[in-house]
Amino acid sequence: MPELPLKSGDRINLANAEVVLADGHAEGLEVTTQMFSGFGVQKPHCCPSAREAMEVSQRRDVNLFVIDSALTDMTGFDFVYWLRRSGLNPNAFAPVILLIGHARSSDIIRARDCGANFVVRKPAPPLMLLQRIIWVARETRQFVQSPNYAGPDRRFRILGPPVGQKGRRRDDLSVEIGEAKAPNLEQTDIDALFQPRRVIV
Amino acid sequence: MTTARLITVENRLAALFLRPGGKSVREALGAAERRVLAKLADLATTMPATTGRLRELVDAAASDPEHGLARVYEASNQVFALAGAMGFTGLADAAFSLCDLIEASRETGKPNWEAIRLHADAIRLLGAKSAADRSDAAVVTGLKQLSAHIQRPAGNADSED
Repeated sequence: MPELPLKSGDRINLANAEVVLADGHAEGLEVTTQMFSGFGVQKPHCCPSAREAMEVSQRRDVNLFVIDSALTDMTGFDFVYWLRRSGLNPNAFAPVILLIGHARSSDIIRARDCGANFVVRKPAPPLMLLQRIIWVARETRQFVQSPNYAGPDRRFRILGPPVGQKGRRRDDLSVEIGEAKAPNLEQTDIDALFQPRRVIV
Repeated sequence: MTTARLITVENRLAALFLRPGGKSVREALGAAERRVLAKLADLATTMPATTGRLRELVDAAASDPEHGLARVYEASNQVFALAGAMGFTGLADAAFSLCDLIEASRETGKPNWEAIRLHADAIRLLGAKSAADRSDAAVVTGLKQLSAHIQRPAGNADSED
């Protein structure tokens, strides 16, 4: 994974990035558009409705979606849900930043489960949004496809399945410890591990 | 039990970032902030009209509470986001409090119209003030207390009386 710019003097190049900005409120869309123009995106696709965002998704290979939770014809959550299951390659796997203002309790669950890479609470100033863009550009999480969820792995840290539950992944380890497969170490062997040794470099 | 399929995806955004050219992070942030501030300054002049429309939506919602309150919620959410971006914390907090109130009334199915109208009136007043006065702390504190009082479960309210 190459190092991405994080310091203020580092350079970023978003000139040719295909970015979809979707917001059902005209004023909000204008603010976000100005922000991305400042970041260097030359031609962002500005979409007030999910229908327009879907049309762009079908025509262009998009590098980043920035979707507000309120669109004119459906919620941003529903759009991201559609995108992840659209079968559009590579757009179904493109990074999505979801913007939400006042969030109902049900919205929090939907934001988690719709398949967005990142949820950002509004108002989102340029510094915060650029940090999140760099974050999703550094993304190394795998994608999960299952009947109930499609999107980036929701587990940021791999800690295994929840206590008392059997893991659903092939690489999930069992919490039960099996029988020893080799004899225990003698105490002298353990002591030897901790003894200083001369190492020739 | 459902089976999950894991897919390793190429991050195309990272490759774009590192192409030669572009601008420094400092330049990008500076340009974005200048453009956003200029746009917000334009939008600040329309805030009285925006908050005035919110008040009209509240009046219209009485005849069709379900859809009407959804429209008020969206409008109030938008005022919250814009006012927050402009730094009008008082106005943003008042709009957020109205969103809280409507959300609570959806759950109970009993909108408190008096409280909703009071919020909308306060938002209109704060929106109509000059930029420096849009953070009237006393008004916002009162609205939050009212909203919290209405959302408090009946049992708790009784115990304090």
